[in-house]
Amino acid sequence: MKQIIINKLANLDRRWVFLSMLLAVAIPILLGLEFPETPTQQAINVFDEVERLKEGDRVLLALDYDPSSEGELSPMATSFVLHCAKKKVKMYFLTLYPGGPPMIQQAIQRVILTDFPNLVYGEDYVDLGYKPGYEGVVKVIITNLRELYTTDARGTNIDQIPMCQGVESIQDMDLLIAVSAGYPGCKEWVQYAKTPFPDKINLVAGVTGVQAPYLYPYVPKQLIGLLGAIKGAAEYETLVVGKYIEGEPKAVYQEGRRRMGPQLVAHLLMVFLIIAGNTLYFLQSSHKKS
Amino acid sequence: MRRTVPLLIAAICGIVLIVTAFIPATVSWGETAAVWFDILAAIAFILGGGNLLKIHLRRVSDQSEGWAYSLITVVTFLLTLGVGLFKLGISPGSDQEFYGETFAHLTVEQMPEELTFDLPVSLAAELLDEEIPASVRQQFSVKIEDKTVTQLRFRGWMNGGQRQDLLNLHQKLDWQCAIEQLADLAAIPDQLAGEVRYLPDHRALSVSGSLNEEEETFLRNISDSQSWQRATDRLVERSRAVTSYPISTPPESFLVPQSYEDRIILTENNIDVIGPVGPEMKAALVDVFPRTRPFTEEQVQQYVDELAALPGGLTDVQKNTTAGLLKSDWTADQLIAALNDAGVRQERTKSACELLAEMQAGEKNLQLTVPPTEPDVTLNAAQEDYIQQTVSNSDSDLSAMVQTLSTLGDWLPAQEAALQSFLQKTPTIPMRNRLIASALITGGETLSEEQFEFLLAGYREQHNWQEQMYGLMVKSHQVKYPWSGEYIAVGSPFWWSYEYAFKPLTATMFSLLAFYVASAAFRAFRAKNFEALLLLGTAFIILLGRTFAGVMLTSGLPESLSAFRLENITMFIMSIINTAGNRAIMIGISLGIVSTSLKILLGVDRSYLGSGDE
Repeated sequence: MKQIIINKLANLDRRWVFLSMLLAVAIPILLGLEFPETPTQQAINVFDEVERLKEGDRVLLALDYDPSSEGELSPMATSFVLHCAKKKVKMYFLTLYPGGPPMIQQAIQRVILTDFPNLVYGEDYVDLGYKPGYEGVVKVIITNLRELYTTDARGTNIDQIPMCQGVESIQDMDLLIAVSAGYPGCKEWVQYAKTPFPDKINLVAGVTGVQAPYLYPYVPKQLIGLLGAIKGAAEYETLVVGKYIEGEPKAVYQEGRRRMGPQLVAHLLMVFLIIAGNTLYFLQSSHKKS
Repeated sequence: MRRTVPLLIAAICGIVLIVTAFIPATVSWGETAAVWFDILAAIAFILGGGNLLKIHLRRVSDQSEGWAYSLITVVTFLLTLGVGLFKLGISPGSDQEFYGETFAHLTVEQMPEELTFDLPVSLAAELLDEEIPASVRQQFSVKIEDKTVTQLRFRGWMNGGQRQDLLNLHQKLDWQCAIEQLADLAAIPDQLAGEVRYLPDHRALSVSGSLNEEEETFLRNISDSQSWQRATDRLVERSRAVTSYPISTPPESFLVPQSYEDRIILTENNIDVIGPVGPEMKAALVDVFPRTRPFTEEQVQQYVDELAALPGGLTDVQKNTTAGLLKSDWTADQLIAALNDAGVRQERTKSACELLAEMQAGEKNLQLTVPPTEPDVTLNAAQEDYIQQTVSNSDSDLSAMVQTLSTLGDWLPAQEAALQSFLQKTPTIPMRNRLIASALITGGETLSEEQFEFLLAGYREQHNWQEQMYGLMVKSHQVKYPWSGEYIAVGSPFWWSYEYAFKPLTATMFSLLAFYVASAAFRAFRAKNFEALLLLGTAFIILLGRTFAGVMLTSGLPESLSAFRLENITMFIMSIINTAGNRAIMIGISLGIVSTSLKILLGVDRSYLGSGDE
């Protein structure tokens, strides 16, 4: 009887596993489960680097992701834009992803147009849009921005955009922020922007959980700070919101922390599934031996 | 040849990029090579699209397994391409349009001879070694004989920006004097100034608002050329088009502005306007709501009492806030200071021709400006008293103060402009009340419905009227560049397909990962040997350490053992063990890339060129 149960459990229909994962994610979302976040040193490094900027400094925000990784990366992008807007720096948005332009629009809409209506397009922020060429784009604009970007995403001549006057290349930026989902992304910014000009480029990044382990080797010399996955987003969000927003922040500024609830339950489920799978495996093995 | 040329291109580009990494002087070569790479990458998208069509159309044609999916792919691809490329359903970009203006096509070459202005000069030819400014390149030309410029020519009218661009080309007085003379020659006639202009970059003659009969006659008389007459016909026809726009009852204080009386017909529920409405006309139509004026202490108290008497009352904080906001409005002293500032007479800048004449007369110490000959105009006591009394009287018309002020003492046109400008910047009463309403509900305070009505009723009316006038402006607008909108504009078909098809589909595909990982964790993640056990242990730590569970489970450990907290072990694994392993792999890969790249650049490895078969 015992063996029958073990065999049945070991050969459990995978749809039950799918259902349990669905519930592990859906229930915390529906209940609005949230947990406190203690920022790690990586998140503090990123926060400090943005904090170091002075009013009017130039920041390049490369939002190299598309809807497939939006769930993981858009909270980071939102926090970065909020932080930059609070610091009153000039924001230059661009993307190396074909599906990236709407992500830029979304970040601008969520933060700048909603909460910073006094920021003027072309003077405080500009959308340079998408350019094909992957790392080739980084390779060119690191020495000459105008070789590739003759206009912004709206088709306005770059020379007629006040905040682009005096910007010869992205070496003129005071900070590069790469929010990236894969190729081309953070690694390319490290290899083609930071590495050839180590003294002129300061780079911080926010990346997906899958990408993060491959980028840790670049910390701290090439990457001053690295936010990994939604956990990194939640930590950075905690720091930004804690310093700049009094009282209850809007939902859009709590997205990172809000998504940590489902993540916790899903991770616990994974741990449970691994233990359960191994227990059943050993029980089956011992029975075969006996 | 088919294989040699690509091989050479790859080899040259690769070697150039390697060289530029080591020799800073060759950076521009690298830029050029990389730009070509970017262009080819863009072309690859087109090839990719073509290839996608070819493969899927073949599958549909052969009706091979899954051909229906191929059909969906082809249809959605073509749909997305169509709506994106042709910008279907997208409004023209507001920053590319000229609201309130009518265009008629007219190239510089079609400009009539009568509007070609020649100025005989004698200038050194090297003055034109500099590049002619882009704004005048199409209209400005010169005649050079024996290294001397003998004639300057300008086709069409010269505007202020073009004049300045030409003046900035050289600082030499003879050049600048010649340009000033040419600008005077090519100035637009007074009868058309401010109404008609020529835009060379748009190849168009333009009219602001509506062209009246007098202006039409003047314009027609300029030239008999066919293209000019055709352009005039077009302007007359389009600038007199009538737009009819339904409106609700206009605000009580609304009167058609005098300057637009001949263009507007107001009926009970409709407004008819001749010609397009520009931003200035819209501002004039909207500017019908009373503006704030300084409150006395009694008026402030009366306002606060009135608001507090409504159901809901006001807290002390709200009363203070209201009083503070009312007192922070503008004051009569600020207006007097602005008018006195405007009364300061300005120095006149001498023209280049004046300076040239002085220089030719032997003057060595040239002064660029002429100091004012008359004293500054400061408001006298009677004028100041009049302003103090008038601004506090709510029945008085502030813009009519000009008449009285000019009779009470010295008065300059600049002061009249300053008065109008000052009054234009003061907020309307509905706007001030809205500001008070939003200030009173911050910090957790509330207002009753009656109080909201008291404060916001006027603003609602103002907002509605502004929206209607904006609607009128948009309806009367004549689109110049229908394709100038952004392909991803909110509400467009492309945006719709991106937002409601592409976005959820790609997000769903990515999120499926969680389900497959969970299934794999249960069925395949087994501690079969020591290496697998290590992997499993690391996975446990990372899974728990990347959430609050890790913090919760090990938060009881004392500070001396904090290194063993799960979140710290996670960080250790990621930044030390993971980094070490990844660096080793990366160095290995890099060495491999170097060797492979060299083989490709030297033509040893030609596999990327394909087999050569079709």
